[in-house]
Amino acid sequence: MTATLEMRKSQKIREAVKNAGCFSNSATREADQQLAELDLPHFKAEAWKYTRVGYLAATKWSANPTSEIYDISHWKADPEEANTLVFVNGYYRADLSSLHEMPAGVIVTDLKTASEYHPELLEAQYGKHTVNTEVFTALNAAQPFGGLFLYIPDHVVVERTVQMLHLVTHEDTIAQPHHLIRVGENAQVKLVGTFGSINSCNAFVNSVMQISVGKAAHVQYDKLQAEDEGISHICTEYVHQDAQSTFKINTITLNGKMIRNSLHISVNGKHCETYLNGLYVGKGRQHIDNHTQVDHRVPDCYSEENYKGLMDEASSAVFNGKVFVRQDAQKTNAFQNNGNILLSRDARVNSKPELEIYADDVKCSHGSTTGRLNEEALFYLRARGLGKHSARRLLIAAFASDVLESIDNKSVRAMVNRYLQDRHNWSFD
Amino acid sequence: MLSIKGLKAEIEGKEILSGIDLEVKAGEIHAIMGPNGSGKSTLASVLAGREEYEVTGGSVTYKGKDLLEMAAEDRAREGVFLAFQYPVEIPGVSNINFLKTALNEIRTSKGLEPITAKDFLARVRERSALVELDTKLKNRSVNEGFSGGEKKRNEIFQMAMLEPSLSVLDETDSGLDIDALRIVANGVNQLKNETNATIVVTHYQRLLDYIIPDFVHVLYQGRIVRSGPKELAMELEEKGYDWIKEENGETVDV
Repeated sequence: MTATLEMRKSQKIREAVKNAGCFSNSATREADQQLAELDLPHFKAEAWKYTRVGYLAATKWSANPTSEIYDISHWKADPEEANTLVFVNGYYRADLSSLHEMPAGVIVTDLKTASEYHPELLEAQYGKHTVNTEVFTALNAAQPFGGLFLYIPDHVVVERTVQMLHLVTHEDTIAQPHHLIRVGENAQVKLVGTFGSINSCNAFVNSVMQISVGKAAHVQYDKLQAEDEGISHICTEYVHQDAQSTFKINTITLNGKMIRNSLHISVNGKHCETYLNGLYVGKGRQHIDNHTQVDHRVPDCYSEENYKGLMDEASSAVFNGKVFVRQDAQKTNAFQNNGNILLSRDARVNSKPELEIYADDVKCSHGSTTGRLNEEALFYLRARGLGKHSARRLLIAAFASDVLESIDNKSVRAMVNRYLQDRHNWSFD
Repeated sequence: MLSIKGLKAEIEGKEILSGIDLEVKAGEIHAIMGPNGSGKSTLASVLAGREEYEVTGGSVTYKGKDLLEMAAEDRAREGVFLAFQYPVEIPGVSNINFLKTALNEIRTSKGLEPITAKDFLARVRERSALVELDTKLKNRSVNEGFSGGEKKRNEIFQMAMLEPSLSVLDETDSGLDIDALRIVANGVNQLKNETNATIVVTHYQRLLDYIIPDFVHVLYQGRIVRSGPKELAMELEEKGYDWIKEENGETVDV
């Protein structure tokens, strides 16, 4: 009985996005078939133990391809410089986007256009690394509304940042962007993803991104989530690294109602480097969940993960960092840290590092701390004349500094600082 | 400048200060000595505004104001400075940023403009030389990875930067070798003038070879049991604290 009820839940959302996708092919149809068999995750499932999503079926969602014009200037990374692709409610908006000339052979376009002009390239990438047994991935993959299609040939360095700028608007909107990024051998790119909302108290963003990082390629991705307090966001990334490649991701979550980040990184060639940094800042009744997974399948790789949380009022956070070191993955170096500061008595964090190590010659460590601001340090600062607020701000900024410093892009840093100033009255400059 | 009358304080229900009387005038250096557990550090903490201590009696008047009514940061802004016995390590907060923020908050509270970057750096250069603080340490996180001596020198450097009226040095000599002790004392002596005052809290007399006090007070069981000129410190050095204990009715095993 429960199963059928749950089934109805996922199928309600499936119905809501029916025919909302920007293209369809055998891969989208296959995803839809898989979706038909899937439920929304039950809280008894380990990966969803602390994050309830059943409420997502209570809204009658609708896809909303609008042509309204918005001022997007304050969301832009490297204005004048970057290639900014704008997605409103998940749909690509050529009129709001700005694309610059790119090195020869680079394809930077949207998913729909790619399906028309580069169907074979799209087919080769689409669904290659996604896992459609994950209900939200299948939901998205069956009906992708729009997305970035980025193809970088071998040996090409893309200097200009490529930004995916997402906005969601209107009540009861569902948005499903799906980004496909392929970075060739020895190529390089810096990506920025920003997520915001305009005039909406209830929306659901279900985003998926696939990144193939070619041999010896370098990819950096700065992700900033700052949708308003009524927006739910399930954000799933699948990253596939080939040998000698470097992948860095900074996940900064500053607002939203329920945010679930599922980051899957699979390391498939020797001598790869993987860096995962995160900062999540909650207040009100926000819930922020970061599930990360680094799968070391081969020897001689390095991964380093550092997630920090600052939780105020009645907000809650989940951190689950899984590191697999497979039997063949000898000489793996994998380090993980999760630190949390609770700024109020009602804030909560569930932190769970998970190392699964099957190789015997590895160096791995993990640490998890959750505490309050250091009272001794606060007194020390106040004894030098700093007011309570300044003293707290200084300690908060210090706590978050290593994560924030890993964001190279100055305009993204400035966005984060501005947001923290406006929402929390913390000046981090 | 400072007038302490009948000050009583306790922590977690245990009385530590049982009625302290002390008068400190501008231009004076007072040494507070006493055996471990006599209440020396508690006195320093209460003066700086540490909230774990509950004041249960008496009064503290500083420059005509009720010091006990003031929050820790307001005391600092009014010119009270505590050099910590155990300076706190604050990873991620740079020494220089911290000092600049502190200095500017003090200035703002007095209605002054923030210090210019140029003036600030000039002052940093001048005052850090006073305690021979390594340039590198100024840019590091507050006290993080500093040696014991570096931490204490950093305290005096901060004191030099903030120019307090009343400095309370809590066991600043503890853990210092003789060279570091000399440097720290030299810093304190150079900062001394006719308008400020210093209270030196110490267990040992050796710091007082370098910082010459005008008055020495012996604290025992939460009270000042004896006050005298600097020679009192010598006497304590010679005889130890046992004679104080005996005088105050405690049996001492010999």
